[in-house]
Amino acid sequence: MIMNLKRSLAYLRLHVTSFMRSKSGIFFVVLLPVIFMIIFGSIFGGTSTQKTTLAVQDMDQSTVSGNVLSAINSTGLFTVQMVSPAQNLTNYMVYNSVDQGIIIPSNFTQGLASGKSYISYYSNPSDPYSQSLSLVIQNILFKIGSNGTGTIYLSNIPVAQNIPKSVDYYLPGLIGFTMLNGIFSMIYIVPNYTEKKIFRQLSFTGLTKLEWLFAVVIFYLGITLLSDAVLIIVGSVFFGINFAVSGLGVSLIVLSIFIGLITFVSIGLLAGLLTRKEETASLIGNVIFFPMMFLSGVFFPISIMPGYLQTISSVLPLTYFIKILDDIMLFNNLTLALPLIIYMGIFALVIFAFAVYAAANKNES
Amino acid sequence: MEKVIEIGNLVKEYRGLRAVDGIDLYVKEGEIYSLLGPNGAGKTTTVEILEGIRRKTSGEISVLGLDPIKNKKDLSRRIGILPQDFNFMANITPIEALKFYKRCLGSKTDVIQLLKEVDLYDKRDTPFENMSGGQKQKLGLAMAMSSEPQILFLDEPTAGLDPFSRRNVWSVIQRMKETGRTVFLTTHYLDEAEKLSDRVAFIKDGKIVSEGSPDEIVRLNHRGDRVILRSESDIMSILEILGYDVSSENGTVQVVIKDSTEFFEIVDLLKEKKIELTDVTMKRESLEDVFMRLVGKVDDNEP
Repeated sequence: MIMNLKRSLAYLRLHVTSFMRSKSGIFFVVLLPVIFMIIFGSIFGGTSTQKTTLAVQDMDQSTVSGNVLSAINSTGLFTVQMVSPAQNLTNYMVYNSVDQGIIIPSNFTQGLASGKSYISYYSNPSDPYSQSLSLVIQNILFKIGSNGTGTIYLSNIPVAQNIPKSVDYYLPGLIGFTMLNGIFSMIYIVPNYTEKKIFRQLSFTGLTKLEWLFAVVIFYLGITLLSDAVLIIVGSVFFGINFAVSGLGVSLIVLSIFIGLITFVSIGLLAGLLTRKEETASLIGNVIFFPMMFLSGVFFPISIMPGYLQTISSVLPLTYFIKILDDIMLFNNLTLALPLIIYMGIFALVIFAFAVYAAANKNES
Repeated sequence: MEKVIEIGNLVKEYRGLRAVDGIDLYVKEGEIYSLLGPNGAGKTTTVEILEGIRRKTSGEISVLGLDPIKNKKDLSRRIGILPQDFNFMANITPIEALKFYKRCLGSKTDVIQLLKEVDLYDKRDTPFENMSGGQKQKLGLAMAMSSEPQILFLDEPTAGLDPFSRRNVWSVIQRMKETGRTVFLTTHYLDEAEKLSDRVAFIKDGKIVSEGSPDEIVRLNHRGDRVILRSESDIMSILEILGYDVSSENGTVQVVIKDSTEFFEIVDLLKEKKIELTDVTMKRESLEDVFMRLVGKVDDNEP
């Protein structure tokens, strides 16, 4: 099937015009994800004056180290979590999403007696509070050292390039959620266009189903990228979301969104072809939309779900797109994301071809 | 004039049912040709086969010398289509719709001029959903004309419109003819076919039962004019005894006559018998009379 890009772009222009006049469309595509971001950001964003969790591993277990801990506690700025000397502190911090930690070494009292001792401060450099907290701890140690005979040095150690905060976990999920706009809109557009014979009218211009679908995917790519940019800006400015992704990472995110939109627009088209009635379309839409929204890791981590829900989750394509976004955005692990992008790309092409074939055949009958 | 549409023994079956049953017809360049018949007669199926929307079961068809299915792409720029129940995207305005058509078809049509031609210039920025039925049909006509096509297929262009809007659409169609375009029209309105068409075909149960200019159809199927008489006396029995073809309708007696001489014979005869007539009229056989006799019904929704 040969594609005429000029016709496709002409339709894209018409579709954008139509969309811009639809208040509900703009609400669902652009504002709803931002509203979710505001809700989750407010709950998990940490913009309030709550205490910072500080993981403490006291290897010295002495009176002096006890004094250090009491001084830290007395600032009222920290919630101290004691970590057993047998555990690896950095692993503990990553696993428990704790951004700050200190190790008081086993020779701490001994070192101080000879005039000089060290405490290691582990922090997440991407956390905007790290530097000020480090200064607070340094100040405490200076006072304790001055009271005694020696000096306590704080050695700053970055734990990892990025330890995500709770609110950071919602960003990939919400970006995944914006991809679902394609599926949701198609379920309403396709029966409506079929029932009102608008597809037939469009076909008189020579516009093929492939050209129409291509225009729709490009439209949703534009609108989703816009929506995601707004999400990232709102998240960063108001809730301190950490979007520290390399240029290559951003390219892979855009590619993943494009592949995701091909997949979800095609699924929406196939679902929309099942009926011409808006009521039935709404039912089909809900049956597809809600499991994807709740079981793919948009709002809740899949790991906390019971086994049978995890099985359902594993067959939902959105799960894999959110996994790709998690790998890139939370862990900067492009090596892990790349093979999954390729698999999902192949899946998207297959389902796209099938949707175009089904739509063209439906038109013939 | 060159034949731009030719159909030979066209058949279309749907699960064994024949919607079109061996139609033969042709349309010459510059003609307005109407396919007239009730709903379900096969009009839309025939026109959709000509437009390349449906496949034929058998038979020969040619539009501008091309096969509508095999040459759909080539024909899309040379034919214009106004389908039955024309519809478009709800919040798109006429000017946006026509510009979209122009871009897709690569035509050089002046969109503003086209809007003026169909009397829609004042409504150019009105969303489709806020337009009246007549305005929507006129937009459909403009969209069909936007590629400057050689043939226009108009499938029931005035169905469901009020009398004023119908006449409005008719004037647009007549202007199309004046620009030399060929128009293939389907309708179930007799007055529409009679007013607009150069030639008409009556279609019933997928078959053409009569074809020609409206005058030709009346002449070819002429069974005689009628004298319509109204009287207090039982003139029906008298005329029946005398061997006339008589029927009664709405309190009148209608007598089929061969010519005007026979009209005067009947009037004189009744005068001789001292029968008083309260009303005497002569009615020439019309296209509607022929249609009713050949096709047998018109649709309930006829205005």
